[in-house]
Formats: sequence, C-alpha cells, structure tokens
Amino acid sequence: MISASDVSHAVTALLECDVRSSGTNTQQNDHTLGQEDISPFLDEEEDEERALVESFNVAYDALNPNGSTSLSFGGNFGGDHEDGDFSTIVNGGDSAGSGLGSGIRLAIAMQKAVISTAVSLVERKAINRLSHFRYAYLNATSNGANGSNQYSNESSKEKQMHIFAKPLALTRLAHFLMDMHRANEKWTGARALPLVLLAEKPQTQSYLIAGFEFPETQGSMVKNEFKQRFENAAISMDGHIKFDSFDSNIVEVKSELANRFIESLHYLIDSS
Amino acid sequence: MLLQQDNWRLGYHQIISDCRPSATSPGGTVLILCNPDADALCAARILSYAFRADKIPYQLRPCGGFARLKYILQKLHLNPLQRMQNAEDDEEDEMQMIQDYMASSATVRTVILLNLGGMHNLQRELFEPSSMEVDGVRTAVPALLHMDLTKVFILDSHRPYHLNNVHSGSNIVLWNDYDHWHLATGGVPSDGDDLSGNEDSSDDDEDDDDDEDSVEDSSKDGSDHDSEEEEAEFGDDESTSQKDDESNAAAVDTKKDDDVSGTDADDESDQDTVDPSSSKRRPGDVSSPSKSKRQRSDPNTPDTELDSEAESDSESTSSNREVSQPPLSQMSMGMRERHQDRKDRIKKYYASGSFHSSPVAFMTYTLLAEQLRHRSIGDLLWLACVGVTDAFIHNRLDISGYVKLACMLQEHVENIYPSSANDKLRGFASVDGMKIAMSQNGKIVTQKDELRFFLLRHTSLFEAMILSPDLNTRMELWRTSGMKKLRELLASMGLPLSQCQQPYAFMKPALKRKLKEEVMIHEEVCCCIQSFDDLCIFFDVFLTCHFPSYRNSTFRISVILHFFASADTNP
Repeated sequence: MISASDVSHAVTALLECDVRSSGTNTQQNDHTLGQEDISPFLDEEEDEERALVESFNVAYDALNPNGSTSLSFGGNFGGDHEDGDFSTIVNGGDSAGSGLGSGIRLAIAMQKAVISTAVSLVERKAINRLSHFRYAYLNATSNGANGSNQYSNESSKEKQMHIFAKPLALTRLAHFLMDMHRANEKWTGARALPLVLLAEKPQTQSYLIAGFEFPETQGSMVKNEFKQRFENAAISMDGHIKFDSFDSNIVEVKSELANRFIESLHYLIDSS
Repeated sequence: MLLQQDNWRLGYHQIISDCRPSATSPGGTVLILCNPDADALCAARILSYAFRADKIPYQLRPCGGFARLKYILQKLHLNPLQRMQNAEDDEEDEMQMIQDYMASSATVRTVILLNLGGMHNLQRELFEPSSMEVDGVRTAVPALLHMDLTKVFILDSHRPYHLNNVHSGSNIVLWNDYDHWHLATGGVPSDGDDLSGNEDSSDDDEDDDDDEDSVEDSSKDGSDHDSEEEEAEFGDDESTSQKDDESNAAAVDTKKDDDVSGTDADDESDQDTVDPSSSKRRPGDVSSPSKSKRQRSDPNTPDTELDSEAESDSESTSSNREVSQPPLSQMSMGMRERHQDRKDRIKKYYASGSFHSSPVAFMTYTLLAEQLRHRSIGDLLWLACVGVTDAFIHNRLDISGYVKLACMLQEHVENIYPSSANDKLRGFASVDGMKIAMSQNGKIVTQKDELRFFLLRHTSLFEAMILSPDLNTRMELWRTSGMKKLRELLASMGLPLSQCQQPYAFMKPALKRKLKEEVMIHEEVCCCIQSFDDLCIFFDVFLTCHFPSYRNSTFRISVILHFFASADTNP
C-alpha cells in the first residue's frame, strides 16, 4: 500500500537526488542522451542537465501506476537492499522493484538530512537576522558535519552535489525551519521575517538563493514577493545574477557575489 | 491568450487538429517540456495518456530552467528560418523552407509547457527575433519558433502570469483555472486579466525597433490565413459562453490580432523582468514615445480603444474579459490618466507577489475527465491525487485550497468506484481505518483520519513520528527533552517502544487500531502538557492515496481522505 504523499515524497527524492552518485549507470547515461548531439555547452551545466534527464526518467518511471517497468538499479542507491525492503515483502514486491521503493528510501534519507541540517543551523546559530529578513548559508563543506551525506558520500567530493542545491529540497528545509520557529514561538510577531537560504553549488561555484515568506500560521500561504526584491537587487548590482529558475523566488549567484547580493537585498528593502 | 476552464478542450482539439495527419498536412508532433517536480510529472503522465489515445506522437523532456528551455528549442530547429539564415540570407526561399518544413510529419507543431514558463515573457523570447552581439558585430538571430508553425500551450501553476503571454494572440495559450477556486479564497487579484489593459498598450508602443514590429506584422499577415480558423473557433466559443452583446465575435478577433504586437512591445517595456536595463528604462520612457506611436496607429485607434475599454471594463467580471462593452466614462478619461491607471494596475498585478494556482496534474485531469472522453480512469485519477498531494506537501497549496481539491477528487473517486465497499468504508472508517484493505483491486479508496506521519507505511512508527515535520517541530524532537517527551507520550498511549520501532507493517494490528484512538484521546490530554497543546497529528483534511500492488499485477488504489478539526484543540 502506498499513499499519495508517499509517492510524492519518493518521486521528489528521485528527482532531486543525483542518481549517478550511486555510480551504477553511467553507460545508461550516455545512452539516454546519445541520440541528440549536444554540442559543448558549459561543462558543469551539461553535466547537471544530464543528471536531470537521468533522474527525471527514473522518477517518471517510478510514477508508472503499473509498477512493471522496474529499473535495474532500483535498490542500488538508498543504501542496503535488504535493509529497507520490508515494504516489498509485505506489499507484494512491486514497489521495490520499481524506482518507487528506492525513492522512498531516498526520501527518508532526505528528510533526515533536512531535519539534521535544520537543527545544526539552529544550534550553530547560523541563521542571521537583518532588519527585514533572515538568511543562512548552507555550505557544501558542512555537508559531512551535519550528517546529510548519507547517500551522496560515495561519489568523489568535487562531483558531489550539495543536496540542498535543489529547489525542492531547499524549500522543504526552509519550511521545516519556519515550522520549527513557529512552534517554539521565536519568530512570532515583530520577529516574523522572511527567510533567505543560500545553498552552495560546488559544481558551478555559485549559490542557489531562495527567498521564502514566513506565514504566521502553518499551512497558510503568503504571496512571495521575492521576485521583485531579487530583481531590484540584481539591478543594483549590474546583474550578474541568473534568473533561470521557473520559480520566481529562486536565483543563482556566483559565489563571490553572494554576500554582496544579500547586502544589496537588505539595502533595497530597507530603502523601499 | 487565456483559455478559461470551460474552453480547455478547445485548446486540446487545436493540438489534435494541428498534429493529426490529414489530407492537407502530414501532421506533426507534440513536444512536452516538464518542470522537474512531481506535480508536473503526474501531469505529463496524464497528458501523454490522452495523446496516446488520440494517436498523437509526442516527446517528453525535462526542462529545468529558462535558458535550458531556449536551448532545447534552439537545438530542435523548430523555426525553419533558423536554418535558412544560417545557410544564406535568401528571402525567396522562405516560403519554400516553410513548406518543406511542414511537409515533414516529425515537425513539432505544438509545445506544451508543464509547470513552467508562465511567468516569463514567452512571446518575446520565443516568437520574436533577437539579436546577438559577437565580437562587436550585431547579428540578427531568428526567433526560436515560427508564428505560423508552432503554438505554445502552457499549463503552469506559477502565478502571476506574464501579461505578455496573456495577451499574445493565439500562439501562446494559457490553460487558466483561476476563477475556479482562487477567487473564492481571494487569492487572486481579479484584475490580473485586465491589468493588461491591452489596447492602451497598443497606443504606447515601445520605442524599440520598428523593424521588429514590421517583421512581426508581416509574419502575422502570413499567419492570418492559418490562424483564422482556430481564432474563429476560440472566438465563437467565447461569444457563446460569455454574453457578448456587441459586435460579433469575429470582429473582435480581428481586432485582437491587431493589438497583439502593440501589447507585446509595451508589456515588454513595462514588465520586463529578467533584463535589468529594460526595467530600469521603465519610468521615463513611456509617455513620449507612446504619443508618437499613438499617432502612428491612428487608423486602428477606434477599434482598439473600444476593445481596450472592453477589457478594462471586464475587471468587474473577470471571466468575460475578452469581449464586453466599453463604458463611456472611461472613454472620456484622458489618455494620460488612463495610461497611468493602467500602469498602476499592472504594477499592482506584479507587485502582489507570486503564488501558485491549482496543481497542473489536477488541471490536466480535469481536462481529460470532464472535457474529453477519458472519464473513468483510475490511474489518471491516482496521478491527479499524487499531484495535488505533492503541491500541498511542498507548500504550493494552502489548506483551504487543498481541502477543496481533495473533496473534488473524492467525488471523482466515488464516481469511478461507486461500489458498496466505498460506502462501507466511509461508514466504518472512524472505527477501523484498516477497512481499506478490504476494498477491491484497482480501487481508489478514500479514508478519513489518516495519520500525518512521514512515510508511515514504509518505516517504523517511531521513525515516522520523528521525521514528520509537524510533530518534530511541535514537540521539539530534535532536542533530547523532546525525545523524552515522545517516549512518554508513547508510553501513556500504551504502545510499547519495541513495537513502535518495528517496521509499521509488522506492528501488531491491535496496536495499529489502538494508535488512532489513542492519538485522538491524547490530543486532548496533551492540552494539559505544555508544548503538546496544539499538537496536530491529524491534519485537517489530508488526502492520501493508497496504491497497493498485488503480485498478479492488478492493484488497488485507495485515496485516503480524512478530516479532523485540529485547530479546535487549541482555541
């Protein structure tokens, strides 16, 4: 038995985890993209793109309601095959054969990473408060320290993608942080401020910056105004900023500019 | 253009007629570009089902960013002019190129964007030629897509739309849902549509380059013939579905065509978001060039203004924005005032912040189930459930929106599986949630009172509780004191720790049954204990779909829908 939320978690995890970090299917990788000639773009981006196509295919297959298109590497990357497989035994075996079973294990690992990272941010007091928003850096080097590399440490360090350099994972982390502080009432009233997270992308030497509004009550939504704020900040910096994401609250900034970006964001909101 | 929910099928029929081989055309393929999130993936699966059923070839690709979108389109050489210009500039070949291009059945005639693109200025980026500067030499780059050949359909839950997409004629079609449930929650500024204030915009056309306009115009002339049919089709429908008391729909359509170019350029100047320089230009430039343009566009003015009024008028009833009557009062308003007014409205439209509408998987399912013939297909419904749940999990839907969609999905479930098992389930759910196990194969079952623990069925209860964001943050399980409280809680519920650390599937059934009752009870108990007071283990309405698979590859789907008024425990 699988619930919709299970599937959603699993598919998201499959989408956002670098499938190849398991090191199982590099050949398949070439195969999937083989038919179209992709001329040298930027190397890192190309790599990222391939990873995306790869994980997209896995996730797409995992969604197959028939569960029959099992992929060969189904159980290879969330750790031990035997470990998490009780769902298979009980539920008839299909879900672990498909990508979904591994997706679920990945999702659990992801969730643990989210929680441990959030906790470490709080305990290290790494969330800085400005007068209009909070911000925190998530550096890839802190990856090992907070135990978030459960499944990605198999790959070499420079290849490693920071797990929070993916928008959905970053979103989850942000919302967990906000839940946390809503529950302990530290961020209420005048201290209820939007949150900006900066996640390092070692591959492209940049930061993924995402802005989140802080809804006072859980489950409600506040319209996100970071699109405009980011744009204004980018304008004031003569624009070295990539507005590439389809989510308007996410931008990518070169590492050396990240600090300045935050500064100009602050001053802009301050002056407006 | 916006395609309101009642007319979604028209968009789909347009795709079919473009891509299906016929006596006059060899047909074409559909390119589906999909944002990497679970919701869009579900939508892609649902949509591809329809295409398979209609024997429309399609290709599906992920697309993670706007640069990537352009890159993919460029690589596919969707605009025959691209090739031509690469080879040699021979304008006479153009028609020939287009004909050759059309002759191939592998031609991409339709691009569908799932959960992406609605906020970008697609009209400009995809359909208008750009220029590139290499080594100081400016070379013109032909547009990525050809107006006559390719249409872009957008299913995007990101809001607000870029107004340029909304008013860009029939080449960009947004399947729009929002009067549907967003209005009720007040989530959408109803002005979104008219903010466009299209026609005013045709007055204050951009100072940019006139050649751009003329190029577009010429291409437009060429396209007129082609697009007339479908324009008429859309137009007709509008006129029937919405009361248009004035001129016939056809006239409006042609007028619309006229304005399109103007709108684009204007919105570009006002709203360009990505390019800082052009946004900077915004404040100063508008008034003077607009005047000159106004004179230029004089012949059009009567028509367009009428139309524009119509559009701004429809503010009150956002649904019939495309065709309605101009109020005389506004006609008499000064140009400058109106212009200012329009600018303000546009500003408000964008400044109110971004948000999400209903999940695209749900929209796609609605299209297929309610407007096409794929009415009772459990698999598709399941995918819609996953999409909605995903949107909720990732905070793209708030609770009330989720409740509404979940209820609608539940109705669908009951329509598809009207069996007694479902009824029985609803009767007994509160007593025994495990009744779902008794349902038939291939069934989606809704259930109340689902525990909102993280992946409960795939871990142990203990771990699921720790990983659940709600419980974790509320009980501060990341502190040792919180863990201690959790153990106490479990103990007071009478659940042995050893059992809780078992995989949930292996937990004693009696304990599982007990769990829910205990949680209910302890929620009240918890009120006395500090920090338990607003413990919300049950969620208001939380939809889960159970989708078990049997060894014989028939399977059972169950949607679990549960209600609990959690907020009341903590007044």
